Amino acid sequence: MTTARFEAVLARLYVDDALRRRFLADPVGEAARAGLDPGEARALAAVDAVDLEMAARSFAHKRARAPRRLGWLAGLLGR
Amino acid sequence: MTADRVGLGWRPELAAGILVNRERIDVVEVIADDYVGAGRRALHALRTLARQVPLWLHGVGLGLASAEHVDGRRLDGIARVVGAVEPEGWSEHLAFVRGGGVEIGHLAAPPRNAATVEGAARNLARCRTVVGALPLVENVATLIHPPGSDRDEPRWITDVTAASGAPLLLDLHNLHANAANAGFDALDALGRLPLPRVGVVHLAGGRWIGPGDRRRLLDDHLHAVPDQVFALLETLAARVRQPLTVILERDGAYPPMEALLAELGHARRALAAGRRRARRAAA
Repeated sequence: MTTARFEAVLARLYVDDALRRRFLADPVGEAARAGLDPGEARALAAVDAVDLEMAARSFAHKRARAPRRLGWLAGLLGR
Repeated sequence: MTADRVGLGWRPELAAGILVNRERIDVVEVIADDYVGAGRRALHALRTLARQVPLWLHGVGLGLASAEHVDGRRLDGIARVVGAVEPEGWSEHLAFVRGGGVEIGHLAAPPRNAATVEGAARNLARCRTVVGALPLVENVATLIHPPGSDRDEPRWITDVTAASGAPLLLDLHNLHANAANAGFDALDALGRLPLPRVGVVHLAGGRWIGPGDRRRLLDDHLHAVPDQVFALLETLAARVRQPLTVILERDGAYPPMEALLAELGHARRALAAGRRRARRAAA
């Protein structure tokens, strides 16, 4: 078990607040609506709601961080 | 045996401090993704740095531990950087970072099961072909027990490294955080990892988040390395024979350089203490 489809749903759960709210209200139903088979839906529905929310917030914080800079090393080394 | 080495993650904010304290820093680690798409000038500068100090490249964006195939363009980009810089080696995470075209934006722990073992092994074989060398693969921190898992983390990492032949970059703060969050013993887990494969070690710090009865340790790289992580490093050094390259990761809230150098000193002492333990045990 674990298909690309399963990972796609998990990725959306991490980044999509509205989907996550719907999922936490009806985990098995929302997983099935996302196209997962019953085994995958049960596996996803077993996720801990508090941990899922904390993980999603952590990822959102990371996404919000400033982009990395380039060119500073060349300047530092005088090239 | 080559000596253990201790160094720092190269960040723009730390660069000047690293260069003026080179005699106390054995090795640096540079984020490879920062240089994907970089021009010749930036790559030449990084190559010049690699000629002055032992340098590792560290990838964060390939998402190797996935049922999806590694993105060819991203991998080509990493291969270009590795080819231009000629580092001592390169590393990536055992994480998935996107799915179905959705970017998570960070390193997510994949479901720990046979499918992701197979997917990671396939993606690592692709890395070897395209880049010319296998990366060391790093364990990731997670706030969540990955849904869809059928085995624990030490078992899964052992399976991935056995299937791929990849060496291991062991992040001891990730191990410490996962143990705290999932309620397992970090020392026991350390003993179940494929320790002879460990070539590089990461050290970092974090902070507690979440409600009081559901606190979780977040690996944020913004705090000092806790004593428990140095204790794990000492134990690791006591249990393996190969030399270790230890990298301190710090990604913000930078303290004075002297504080980071003190942490490197702490790491050196932990390594030395572990090696002494091993010698006493063998005597």
